[in-house]
Amino acid sequence: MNIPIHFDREWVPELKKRMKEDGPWNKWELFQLAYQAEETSIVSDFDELQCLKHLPTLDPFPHQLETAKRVISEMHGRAILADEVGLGKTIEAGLIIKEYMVRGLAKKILILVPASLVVQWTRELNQKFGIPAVAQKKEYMWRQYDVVIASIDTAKREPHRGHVLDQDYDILIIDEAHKLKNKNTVNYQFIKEIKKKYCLLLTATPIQNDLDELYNLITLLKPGYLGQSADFQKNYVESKRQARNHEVLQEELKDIMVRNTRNDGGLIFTKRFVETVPVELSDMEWELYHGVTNFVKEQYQNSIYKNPLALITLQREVCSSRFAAFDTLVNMHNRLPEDSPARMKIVELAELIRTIKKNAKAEKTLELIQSFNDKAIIFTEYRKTQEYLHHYLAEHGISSVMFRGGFKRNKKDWMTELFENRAQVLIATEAGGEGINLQFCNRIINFDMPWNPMRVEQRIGRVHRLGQKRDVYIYNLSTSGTIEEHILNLLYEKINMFEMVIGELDTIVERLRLNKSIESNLIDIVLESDSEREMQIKINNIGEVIRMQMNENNLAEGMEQI
Amino acid sequence: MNQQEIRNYIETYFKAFDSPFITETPSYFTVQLPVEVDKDLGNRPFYWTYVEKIGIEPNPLQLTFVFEPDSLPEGLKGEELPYGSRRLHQIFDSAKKHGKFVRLYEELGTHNGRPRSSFPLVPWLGVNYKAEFICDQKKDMLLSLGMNLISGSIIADFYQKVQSLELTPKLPDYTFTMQPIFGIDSAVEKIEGYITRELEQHDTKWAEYALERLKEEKELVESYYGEEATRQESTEEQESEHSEKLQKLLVEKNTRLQELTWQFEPRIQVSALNIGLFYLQTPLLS
Repeated sequence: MNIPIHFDREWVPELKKRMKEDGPWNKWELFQLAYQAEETSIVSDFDELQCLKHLPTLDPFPHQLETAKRVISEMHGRAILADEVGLGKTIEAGLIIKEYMVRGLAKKILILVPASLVVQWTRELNQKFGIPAVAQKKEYMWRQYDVVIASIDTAKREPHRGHVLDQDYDILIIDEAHKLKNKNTVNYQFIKEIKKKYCLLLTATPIQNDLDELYNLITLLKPGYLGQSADFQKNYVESKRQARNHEVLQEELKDIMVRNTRNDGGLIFTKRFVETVPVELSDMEWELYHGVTNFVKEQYQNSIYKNPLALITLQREVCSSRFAAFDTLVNMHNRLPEDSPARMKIVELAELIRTIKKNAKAEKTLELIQSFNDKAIIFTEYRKTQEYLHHYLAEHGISSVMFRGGFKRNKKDWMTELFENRAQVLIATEAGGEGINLQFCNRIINFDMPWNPMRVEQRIGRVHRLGQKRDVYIYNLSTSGTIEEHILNLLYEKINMFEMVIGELDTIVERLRLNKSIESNLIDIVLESDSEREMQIKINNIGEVIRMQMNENNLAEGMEQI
Repeated sequence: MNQQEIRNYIETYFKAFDSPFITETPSYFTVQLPVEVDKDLGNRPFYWTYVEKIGIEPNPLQLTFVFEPDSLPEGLKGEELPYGSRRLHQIFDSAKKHGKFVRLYEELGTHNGRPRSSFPLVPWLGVNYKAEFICDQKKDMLLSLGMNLISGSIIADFYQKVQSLELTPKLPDYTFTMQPIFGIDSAVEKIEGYITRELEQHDTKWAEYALERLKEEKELVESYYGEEATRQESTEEQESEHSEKLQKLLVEKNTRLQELTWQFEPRIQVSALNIGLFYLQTPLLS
């Protein structure tokens, strides 16, 4: 057979020019080095993955490598990556991009992700894969850079749209592709117009609601692959959410979709044990808690203090430690007019803080750490609490390092290393962000509780993830009789969130749009309830509502089985 | 490439540019970059434009490369060079850029003292090629060919063969170069003919498979858009609106078909890595 051969002859006139002008000629050593460079980077095999040679620090899991290999060799670079959450779809996509780049099959790459994930994608591709990806910020960047990450919502609008549609992309990647399920949307039509060679659609929930959505995703990759929409309906759709001919459909999907699940062999997550650790406040601490709680309520009802968020902060801080509450009180004091009666109240509370010597929670924490005598991560929402704990533990001979979200990357790495090699405890004010590897530790102490369940899950996700070899222990400190206890009840008993499998919570939170709602509901309840009892009942009610929604949602889950 | 090979490689690289080594220890070395290397490795194009525009004295960088990070002196910072790192690739690219064209002469052995008369050197054109076999996947192959510009004979593995010879950029004493019979253009043509014949011997299954794949995928697209178009007809619509929709479908279909060709069409791309004129005394045989 005749395969077209194209010879590049650009060098010929260049050589003649040098012959005519008697140079310049390069050195023999560099000629040899040039050959050697090419010799080490050529790829003499179609199938074998090359990218790992270029990624000395990356240690992917077998299922991720297998996926990259299948997408390239068997699916020809067009696929839906539909792993369950937490199994590393981004890593798989990174491996595939890197492989195509190393082989010289891809240069111009467009990655469309939700706006909130742009920075994270950029960082991962750069740090883990050495792929020079940039987050699109200015218009010129569409053409100036080869690997661009942007949100669909930006890309689809002029002037960006024109640039995107004008270029040919070697690879197009769309994260959270389930958002493209509806073929009549502007986003779907826009994606359809982009010219691409390879294409990856990433989604954890490929068949959220009905089979048509799956059909629409596949049409973006390979129009006609599952036949015409009507054929598809006839062949595979029993009712909106029920598939017929499961096996046939499954067989067809095999060539276009990869879905690794936790239940697949080899992906073993260790167990998660959650323990509520009750804490009894001392009398003085009780006095402060009540004092602050009453103050918050009074201020809210009298509407003297206009900012309810500051009041909520104060209420939450006092559950954490008196030091956390102190600064907020001082700030409030300074902002109030001099003759305000609230000022007097604040001074009283501050005086009270000064006289308290005991911290029941810190004592409990120390007791815990001494009892298991192992590394642990303490999470608190507040820097003042963090600093206090650092001193308190040091006083009792326990070394700890402090970790904050605002740290630069280098400092985060350094702190992680200190924790791994020199200190027993890491005290963190936030989950620390992606890429911080804390799997060498398997104990978490939630010193105080975020009101947003996703943040709790992110905390746990730092240690309970692929690669954790031991069972994970989570200790939630719960101060009896306080709002904290009710919230823990809600998250733990009602939503049962600590028992969920990794990644499950994100899905549920996203589907039920709980992210904002739980927190804002809690704020309303705390501010609007007249009594402790009323608050407790209202919090119980949210729990019931969420549980009902989750049950309904589980019914729809059946579709996921195909 | 392991760390030792990488170290050997970049040391050879810097020596080729006569870069002064400032410190050299088993665990790291620091090197002063010459201007042309700084331009390739320094990541500061604006600086160089500026320096050249203003005409001020340039201040090239020093770089420290680390091979045993655990035994570095306190406070010393340097770069590690794992295979795949951006820096190593910059060095590779720089070597390729500065190692593209050579003209070399074979040194004569000292055959019992000086030769009695001048020796003729035979001109060769040597080219290192990379052949890329491309469809939706890709593999590469290096081919090194040399053509004797007097006899017209072509030999394979030319580069490997000249490597064992003693070569110098200056015409050695008591030698002279013979006038070539073949010009560059006809030499290139002959070499390309040789490569084409060579590649035709190669296994073509990959290309057959890709073509088959391309055909199937195109058929799917054709049938999909065919039916989409028919479906459009069955709905009652204004004539103009209808033809507009059909037009849009056609554009979309053509885009999809072009994408498939781009993705699957098998082809072989042959490019020259580096090229040399070699004046040799030793006869080379294929």
